[in-house]
Amino acid sequence: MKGAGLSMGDLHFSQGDGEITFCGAIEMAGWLHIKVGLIKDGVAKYGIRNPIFRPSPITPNYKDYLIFEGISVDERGKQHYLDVHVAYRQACLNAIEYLRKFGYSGAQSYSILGVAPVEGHISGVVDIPNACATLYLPTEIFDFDIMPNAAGPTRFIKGGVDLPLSPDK
Amino acid sequence: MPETLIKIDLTKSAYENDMIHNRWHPDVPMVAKVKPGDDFIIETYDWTGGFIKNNDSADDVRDIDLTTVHFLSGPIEVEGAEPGDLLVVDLLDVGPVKESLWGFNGFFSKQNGGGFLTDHFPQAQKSIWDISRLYTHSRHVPGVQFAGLIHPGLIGCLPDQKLLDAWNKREVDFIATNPTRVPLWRTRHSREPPMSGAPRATPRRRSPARAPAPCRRASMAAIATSRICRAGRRSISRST
Repeated sequence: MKGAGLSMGDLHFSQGDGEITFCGAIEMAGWLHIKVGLIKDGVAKYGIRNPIFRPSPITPNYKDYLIFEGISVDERGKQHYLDVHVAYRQACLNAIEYLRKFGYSGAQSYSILGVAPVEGHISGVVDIPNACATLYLPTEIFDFDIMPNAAGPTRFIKGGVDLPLSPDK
Repeated sequence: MPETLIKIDLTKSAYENDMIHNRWHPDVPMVAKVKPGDDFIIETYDWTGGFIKNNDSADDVRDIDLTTVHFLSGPIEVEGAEPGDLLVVDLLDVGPVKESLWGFNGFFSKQNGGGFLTDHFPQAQKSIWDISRLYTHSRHVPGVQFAGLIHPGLIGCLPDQKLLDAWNKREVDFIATNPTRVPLWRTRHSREPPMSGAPRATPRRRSPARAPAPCRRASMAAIATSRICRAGRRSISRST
């Protein structure tokens, strides 16, 4: 509209791709220092339908990942047609199950996927009927080694602490 | 020093701040005016306007009224901007409030919002993450710490009435296909007098414009006069 009406908020300190926990990333109050500019008739000039972005020159520098895959077959074994939502859900559930083997609760694992610099990729929409989605979990964010080995997983997390839970009223 | 156009006070209710709104609607009055080329600072509440607290109970996540969100700073008039123009936004810097170096993450109850894995995690839970310069860790999730990539979950422009009407028709038609779905598609955009100035208790409508990637969160069609949002220092590329 005329004058644009620029608004912003909902700052995140960090967030995994998809913001899967819904409440949400690491949500915080904060501030932004911004600069605005204008490209007259830019929507038509560049064929813009949705906003476009540039990456920051300063980003977390994690290079090693353990990558979990999901396909469009849901938890009950039902086949879905190229459904990347179902596929990404499976990738997330697979990562959560894996992290539980190291002593994390399901909720702690879910929380990590929601807030850490986890990447989500649509890896394939070609092998009909299966979409393939992948979740990249950075290995260097953990205080211990999460790679699989012949000896099996070690329960580094001893329990005793978990996310507070408030049952429905 | 660049001017701070919108200030917040975490010791006071966000409802008392008349530069905060929670709906994308053309009738929300502008609270500041800038020119292309200007740089300035905007302070923001967290998306719940301070409802979620730094404690060890998830009662607030369970009890939150999701029709009140998101608490946004603005809108700001950009001189000369018209429908069809691209607004270029450089995020030069971004950070947490110095007196409030923590953030929260949670799962909504399936009875109040739900979430991506709500069938597996149907009850309200919360984790608190302490911020230490570029890094964060949580007393609720041991054994993990990482650097953050700070970014606004939402940034956008107000729609004109025509675009707002298109959103409402599109979404109302969609809701009708499965009205009880969880996560809930709770409400639609306001056709009524919008939330201008301080957020009000009622009536409320879901706010649509969640930024993707850098300005993470999808549904950018929501952002009326399309714009480029350039991610600057520590504001990312990939993406709420």
